[in-house]
Amino acid sequence: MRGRLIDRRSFIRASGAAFLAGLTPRSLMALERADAVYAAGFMDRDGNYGMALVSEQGTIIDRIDLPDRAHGLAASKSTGMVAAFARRPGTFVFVYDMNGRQAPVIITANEDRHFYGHGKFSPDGRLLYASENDFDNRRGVIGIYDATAGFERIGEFPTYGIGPHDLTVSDDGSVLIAANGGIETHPDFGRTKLNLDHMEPSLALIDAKTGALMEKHGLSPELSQLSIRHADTCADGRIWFACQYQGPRNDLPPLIGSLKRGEDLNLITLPEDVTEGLANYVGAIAVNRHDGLVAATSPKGSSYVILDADTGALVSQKRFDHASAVASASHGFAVSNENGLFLQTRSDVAWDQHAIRLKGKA
Amino acid sequence: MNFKILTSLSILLPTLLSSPAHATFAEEAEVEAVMDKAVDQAIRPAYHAFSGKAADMATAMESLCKENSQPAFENARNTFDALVRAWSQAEVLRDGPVIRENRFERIFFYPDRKSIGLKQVQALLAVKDKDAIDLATMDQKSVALQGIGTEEYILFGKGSEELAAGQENYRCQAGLAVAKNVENLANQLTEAWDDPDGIQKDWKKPGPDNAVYRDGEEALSGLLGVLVRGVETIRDKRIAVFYNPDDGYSNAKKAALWRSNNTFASIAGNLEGLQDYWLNSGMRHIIKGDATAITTNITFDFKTAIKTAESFGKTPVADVLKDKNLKHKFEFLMMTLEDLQTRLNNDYGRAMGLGASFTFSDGD
Repeated sequence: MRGRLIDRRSFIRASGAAFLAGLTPRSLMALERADAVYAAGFMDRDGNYGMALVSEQGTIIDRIDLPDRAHGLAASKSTGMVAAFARRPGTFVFVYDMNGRQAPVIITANEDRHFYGHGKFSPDGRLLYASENDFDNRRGVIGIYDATAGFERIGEFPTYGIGPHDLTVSDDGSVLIAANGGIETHPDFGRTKLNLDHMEPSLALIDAKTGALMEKHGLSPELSQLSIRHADTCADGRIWFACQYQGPRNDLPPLIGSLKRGEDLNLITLPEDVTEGLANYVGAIAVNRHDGLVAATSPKGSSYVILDADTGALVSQKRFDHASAVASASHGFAVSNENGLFLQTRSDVAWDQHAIRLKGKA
Repeated sequence: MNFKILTSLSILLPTLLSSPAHATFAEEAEVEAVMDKAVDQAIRPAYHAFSGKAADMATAMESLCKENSQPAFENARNTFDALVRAWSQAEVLRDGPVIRENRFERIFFYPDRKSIGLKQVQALLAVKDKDAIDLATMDQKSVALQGIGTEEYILFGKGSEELAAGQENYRCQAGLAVAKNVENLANQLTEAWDDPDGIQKDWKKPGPDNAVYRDGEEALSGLLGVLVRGVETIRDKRIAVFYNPDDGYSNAKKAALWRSNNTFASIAGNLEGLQDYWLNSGMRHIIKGDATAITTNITFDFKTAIKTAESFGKTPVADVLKDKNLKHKFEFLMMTLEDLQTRLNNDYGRAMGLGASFTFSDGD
């Protein structure tokens, strides 16, 4: 494949060497005193990309330049490592030590794989899982990287579906949960969706030790164009997932659902005007375990909804211009948008679709 | 390098940077007028032109198969050049009927990283199986075999001279079958877009019951998406596959349509197709006031890029990559495309009311 492949040398050349020094003293001090800190990808007004560390109030504490657009992020509370995944069809993962003990690591995709933009650490922080595309064989895989050995790629599991996007891990680390969007892409065709007329979305639960399929939940034929894209988990193991619909714009399919292991998918039917406000496109979903809530944003619909995480009942819907990322906050949720708003603070950046909470309860 | 053009670009750049673009989203009526013209003055004319050239191709192949003469052979090759140009203008739209039933790939299967199409056409010509080139079943063959790539190999690939020798008809009949298949596909596209109650209605009248666009903002974003993705595709999927100045990679045989020396004509055709959307739809008039400097620069970039691509004529890609001056000119074309992409994606996107840029809001 020709195109935007990136190796470590060109990564450093493209993004500047500043990030190699780790966090600045100013950032470390800010991290120490802040009650909660977020990380999020952004694009600045000059079109430069990066990852920002953000305070409880939504203020940018520090920013790290990246050579291309980051999408999903993952953090390990055990090791203090943060990973930023390149947007699909991306070829790098940038891994950063929040404690400043080691230089950043750049993981580059295998020649016959690309990243899909998401991943998670195992609970002990020893492994990093990444959703990837085995494009020649039209199948999704989970790349497994050893965080104790320089993030060497030590293996992969199938996701048992096409086009995996988000990836999460059960609290005990035994189950990997892959949101198989069902959309086929190939780096030769950029971001073009190649199979919209025969999609196969699914949510797959995979044994983290063996890679064996434990459960796979597809959708009924009339919802085959409902791409399952993002997921988060509750303390009781319930999985909340969010979808993007590729079918006719005047359809109003359910866009949010939940799954308890051993049961069927539970798609949430919201009032029609609420569903309309999501514009058939949910960009991000997050669970606040402390409050027992789940929130989902729609950049296309410029709104977000909050549901009861136990019952799925609608708690509220709010207008939020070009709403992008959502992350659990001390109370409720931190929501950002493409116009630079993160919580109450506006910065001169466009926030990407995902943010994560690095520390603090929730 | 064309320094005169480069200097002109340099003069325009500060104008843009000092022109704050205000988000002033157009009225629904303005958007409808734009969408109306995009359909009737860009999309449908492009498909009709393609359909006409596809019919010419089938006619030329019929003549060639009857005559097997040098003049008929040359006529078929020239007709193929015109077909490529017409398809390249229509090709920029990757939405609607063309992406259903794999029509897009059936018309032109590219990129073909593993040379699947080449292997299949070589096998087809080797077996000389008349059933394999039956017109009635051509549309059920591999998508890599059905279209322009196969036609190019038949007319310009190894052994093509036999088409003019008056002794070999199987190769010609294969070319005729492919030409007829492309003609059928082209006609399906014109019919779909000519239906006043079909896809054109969805494009022209955004609304709550519309299956494609629910409001003017979605429609205009969709239209901008054709341009942004179109330029991106030329840059990343048409050029970067055979030349990358960053790492010095070059491989002329990876270029689209290199056998017929239509690589640059195809790029010029793509750009002309995109320019038709830009100029004919009136979308450039949607943003007003101090943001109009943006549209002036985009118009300038289109003209510059087309002129530069045109200037290569039928020069083989390999010659362009070998010649220092031509290579500089080619790199200038790439630079212009980069500039055009930025202006459309960031500057125009923000000026029409998008929060960040088109690709930033493109979802994932």
